Amino acid sequence: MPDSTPFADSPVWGGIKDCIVKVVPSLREAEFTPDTRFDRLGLASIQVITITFEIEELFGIGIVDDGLDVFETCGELEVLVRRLAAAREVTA
Amino acid sequence: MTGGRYRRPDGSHRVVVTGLGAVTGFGVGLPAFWQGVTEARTAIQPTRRTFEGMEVIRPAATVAGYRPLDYFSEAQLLTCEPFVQYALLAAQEAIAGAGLTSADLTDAAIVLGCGGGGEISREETAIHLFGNRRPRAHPTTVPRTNHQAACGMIAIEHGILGPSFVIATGCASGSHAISQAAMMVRHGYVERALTGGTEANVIYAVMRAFDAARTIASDTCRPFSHGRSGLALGEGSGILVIETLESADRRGAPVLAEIAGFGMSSDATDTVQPTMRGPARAVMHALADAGLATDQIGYLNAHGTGTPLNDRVETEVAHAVFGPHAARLMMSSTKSQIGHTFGAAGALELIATILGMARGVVPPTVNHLGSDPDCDIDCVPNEARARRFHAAVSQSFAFGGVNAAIAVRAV
Repeated sequence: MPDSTPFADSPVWGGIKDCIVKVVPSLREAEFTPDTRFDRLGLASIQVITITFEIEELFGIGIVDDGLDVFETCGELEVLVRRLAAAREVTA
Repeated sequence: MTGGRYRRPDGSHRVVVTGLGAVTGFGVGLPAFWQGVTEARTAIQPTRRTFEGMEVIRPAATVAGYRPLDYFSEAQLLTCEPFVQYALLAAQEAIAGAGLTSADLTDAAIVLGCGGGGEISREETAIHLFGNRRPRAHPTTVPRTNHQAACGMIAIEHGILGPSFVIATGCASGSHAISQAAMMVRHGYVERALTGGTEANVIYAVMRAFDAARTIASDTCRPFSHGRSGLALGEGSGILVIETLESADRRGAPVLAEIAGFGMSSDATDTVQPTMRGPARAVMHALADAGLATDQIGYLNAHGTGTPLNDRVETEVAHAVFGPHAARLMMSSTKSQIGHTFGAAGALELIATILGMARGVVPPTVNHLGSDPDCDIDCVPNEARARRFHAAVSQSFAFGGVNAAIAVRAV
């Protein structure tokens, strides 16, 4: 059953946002929507890689290991993280 | 024929210094460094580092009031450890002082000394992988830890396409790098170079490591003094712009000093115990290379770590090399002021030497409590001295028994 929690209130997105701000503190006040594209945030590739690493660490998931580091928007990333985190809980 | 002014007796180029930059325990910039030196202050203070309830406090000189975001973007800071940041800042200052533009630097060399590279990230990665038993290292571990990041970032910042590399010979890295760069300019491989050294590894693991080697002072660094007990850690960067005298004259650049000669040697005796023959050989080679007689040297910036053995051996070296002139030689240790900056030490100490020669001030040895019979030299204790000198030597000796000395002369 799909989760109907609004994007901005999603605890998963809250964790992702913390990871983004940890790597790029100047984005603390930035407005994010599900359609916000990562390539429009002006990030260097190493910043995107590092944000991905921080998300993996926080949620205990393997985005890169699963070959899923192909997300383009914040919404896609939130769905992906939610799915991987849920799968991890089932496995555990 | 202009060769007489621009060439050495063997026909190679005369090499001069036209720009200087420094980041030290006194802060960012050459003025802060020189003010600290001439006011005979020390930047060394008890410095605390912790890890999970463990704590170590040792004397160290870290860069005062340093705020990285004042100078660098978030993206730069993600991949640049402080040792790279300091090198970038010192290079910027040296280039500006030399009056060079990026176009002037296209073919320049970058040769830097760096002993440890990204020690901060190595420590964090070890904690993460082995302490926390995590499966992945941080993605920036490789770009942050490699020594040559310092060269690479300077090249990127200034569009420099010439040869660039790092020399890692511990405490002698900076002096070796400057010698190597001077050799390249002297023999026409490049017309100018950015050279010097950088280091920033005042961290828990390094404090513990030097502790274990029994080299850190119990209170502070007191070179050539009675009651000395060891070195104090330091961090920073010193960068010099060097070029042929011909190039400097053509540009109308300020000539601060000539890199008149250099000497390098190995002890071939012991990895940790300094001996006299290696260092003496390096200094004698530097003087011979410069064509300077011992009694022409007015000032010697010593390796001067403040360990009981180093300072005694270094005094013996001075007597062996300079003979009766050792009694008149002013010989001080800048490490008493900015700590032991390892890969940056040779460069920062040469910068202090060059500024002293240009401005008629002899850098002091501070924290000096009184003379030690084993160190019967004039270490310029506790106060900078107004005195002109026209030629000087800066020397660095490293674990492993590797040594480098540089002779400079006023132009």
